[in-house]
Amino acid sequence: MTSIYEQLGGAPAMEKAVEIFYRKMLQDDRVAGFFEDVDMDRQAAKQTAFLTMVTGGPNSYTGRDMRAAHAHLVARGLTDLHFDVVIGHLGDTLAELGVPAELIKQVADVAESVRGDVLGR
Amino acid sequence: MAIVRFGDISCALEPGETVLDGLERAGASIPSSCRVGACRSCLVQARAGAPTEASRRGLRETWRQRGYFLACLCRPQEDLEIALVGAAAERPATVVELARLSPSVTRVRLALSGDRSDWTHEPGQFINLARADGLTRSYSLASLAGEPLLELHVRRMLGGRMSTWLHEQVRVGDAVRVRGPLGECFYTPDAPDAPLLLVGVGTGLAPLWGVAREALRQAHRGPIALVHGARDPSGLYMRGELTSLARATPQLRYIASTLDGDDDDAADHEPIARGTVLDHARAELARLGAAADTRVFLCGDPELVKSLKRAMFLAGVPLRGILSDAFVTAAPPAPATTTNSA
Repeated sequence: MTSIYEQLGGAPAMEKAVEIFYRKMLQDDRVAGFFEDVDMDRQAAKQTAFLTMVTGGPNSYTGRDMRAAHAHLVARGLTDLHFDVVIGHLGDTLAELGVPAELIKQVADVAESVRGDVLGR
Repeated sequence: MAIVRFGDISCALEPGETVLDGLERAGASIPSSCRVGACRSCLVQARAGAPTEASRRGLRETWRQRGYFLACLCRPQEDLEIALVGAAAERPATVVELARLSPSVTRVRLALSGDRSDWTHEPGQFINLARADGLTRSYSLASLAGEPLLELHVRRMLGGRMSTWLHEQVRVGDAVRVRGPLGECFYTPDAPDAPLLLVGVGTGLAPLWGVAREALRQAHRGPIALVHGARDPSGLYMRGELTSLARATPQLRYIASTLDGDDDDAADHEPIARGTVLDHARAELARLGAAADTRVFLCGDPELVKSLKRAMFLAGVPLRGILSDAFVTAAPPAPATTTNSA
């Protein structure tokens, strides 16, 4: 079975998806604060890795990476609420790119699987 | 505890200490300026051992492969043997021309000494300029590669050691050293029809003046807008040159922008547009055409570059279409003294 990553068009499609996804996050006051002082290019690279992972593309993400990468955000108050916002923007992004609802559900399930690591639980 | 070796010097780093701090403590002389990873003055090469990822982030792939890293960002876990980077070797140069462009900006033109056949740069890149005593600051290159002299625009900073020297004390014929070129903020001819939006404040104009002329030299076909901002009209410079170039070049728009102040030179120049640089940048982006196709160059004050970058991205410019050069001011060496990097 081809992955959603492949169905979307692989790496070039990820770049396009990240542009949409990242803009949604920056314009959402509930999560924008977490992106205040980050380098935008580096942040986009991280989001590309994240989107590649949740759409089933080639990745080397581990739970430990997710935990370490978000520890400083948890210290700044990252909670389930913010995680839900991100999952929402992820779904909206994929919907804009024409991904059918049942596949978006699959992607959301993969993202859900790292919730505990991201939130440091 | 990691041991760092550099030439004859060997130094055991203290916890949390960077390679740069440790080697300086041990008496080594490593070129440095901003100490926060922006100016790349302290780019060095690992001959043995692995530098940390944090000290290599953002460096181009070819550099990473050669073991290059920034000594000011590296807190190594393992032993390192390092060397200065040959590719950015210092070259002697001479100050050959000085001109006051505004009360706060001096144009410095340098001639590289000896054979310059192996020198090439892209306008908009920067060099690290070192005085005889080793004081080093970064300056953008406004000159084209084919022009015989390197052109820098130096803004006088309050208490700035290098900028004060370049404004008041330096004389034509003085010897300096040049290391570079560095930086990624330059024109590339791969999209000749793309709209170009160039936005800078203060001496952020220097790289943009280079980029605009280089684009025209390479027969760029897309429209170009250059927004130069300053707090008041005395902070604008080269209005005459920019006005003339824009009037002679239909595809180029020049917007001189200030927040306030009377415009005494309105008769000879494009009138000053009031308002923030951010607002003008947004307006010009909309006027230029499809944001998704536009190439944006942002130069000057780091905070402004940051907000411009975000605004341009949110307005639809892809991140890969945005090139920026934030002018980081060097950390003060002593209380009540600031130094300049532009």
